Amino acid sequence: MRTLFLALGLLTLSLAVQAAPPVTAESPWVREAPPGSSVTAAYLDLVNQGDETITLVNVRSEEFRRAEIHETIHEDGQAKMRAVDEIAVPAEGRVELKPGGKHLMLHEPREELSVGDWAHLVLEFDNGQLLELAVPVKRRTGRDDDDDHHDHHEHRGHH
Amino acid sequence: MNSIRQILIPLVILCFAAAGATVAWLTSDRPGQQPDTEAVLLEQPRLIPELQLLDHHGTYWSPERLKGQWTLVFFGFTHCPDICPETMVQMNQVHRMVQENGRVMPPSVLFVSVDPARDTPERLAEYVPYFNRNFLGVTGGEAEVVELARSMGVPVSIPDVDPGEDYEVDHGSSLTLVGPDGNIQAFFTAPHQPDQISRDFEAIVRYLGQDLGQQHAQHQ
Ligand SMILES: [Cu+2]
Repeated sequence: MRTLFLALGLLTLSLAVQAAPPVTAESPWVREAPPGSSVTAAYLDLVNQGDETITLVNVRSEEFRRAEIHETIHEDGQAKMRAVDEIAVPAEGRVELKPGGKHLMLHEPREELSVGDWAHLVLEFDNGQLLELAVPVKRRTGRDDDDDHHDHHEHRGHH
Repeated sequence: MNSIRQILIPLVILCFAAAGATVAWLTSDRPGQQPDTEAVLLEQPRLIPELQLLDHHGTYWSPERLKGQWTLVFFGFTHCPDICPETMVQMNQVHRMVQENGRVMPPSVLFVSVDPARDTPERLAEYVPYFNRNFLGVTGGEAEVVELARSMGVPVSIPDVDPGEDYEVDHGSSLTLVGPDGNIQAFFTAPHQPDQISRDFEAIVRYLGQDLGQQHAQHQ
């Protein structure tokens, strides 16, 4: 009997852990690659609900042959894009991956993805947590017929 | 009592009039005064050297084509996943904001490829109109592209690699504003804020004149 209670207890505990993972992703999207382009990027907000820093260390996607953690930086008046090893998400903190900043770079799509399609990302963190995401592909041209204006990315003061 | 009122009433009216005039003066366009912008407005407009490139229709392009309208010029390449498409997006936003404000004509937009080995006119013909059919893309010889970039203060480092390889082209991220006289009038440095750029663009165009030359002469 005691074993049963213990097992039930453990089960509940593990369910609770699964229900509220320390790191979650908010508003993820993949940029539809402009015609002829073989590279694109994914963006999202990483939210850490735990009380310890958790670090994103790897990313992969079944729709792309290669995925990397990247950052665009402005240095000496130049825009440079660099691969970075990791992105740390501070305890009870949030890190925005957004156009012109940190992003998940996606190389060589196995098939052309366009608006309405979904990409699947697996984000791996240093605590062993895996975050599996189905991410919508969105068209972003800046014209007013975009399917999503991503307004919260355009407020001033983000830079 | 009467005499006080006789003095006071005109005085109050005068005060209101003065305040009103000040507000009107502060909020009016003062074309004679240099606008306060985030953009770097050149005191001495800069010339663009004569050179030849190809536009995305496969037609020869030279800086001569910049004459007759205000143009925002920026540099990028189509194998760039983040900052280049995002700058395109921002140019569209600027274009739309200026159009909606209706104070001045929106700028033309020119995209210059810093990756001529991979960015053929055909490729640009797919890429540029995806964002806006009115934007123009140009490409051409490496030396010409670098010369155009240099004249606009934009550093470009084209790596010496096989075009089949996967590579990046680091490039300056500033926008160049060319006037209808075909000369460089201002720069916008990154990171770019579309609302700021559109405000500054309107201020500069109103200060220097929609068609430069003539109106500018009137202001002096
Ligand atoms: Cu990247």
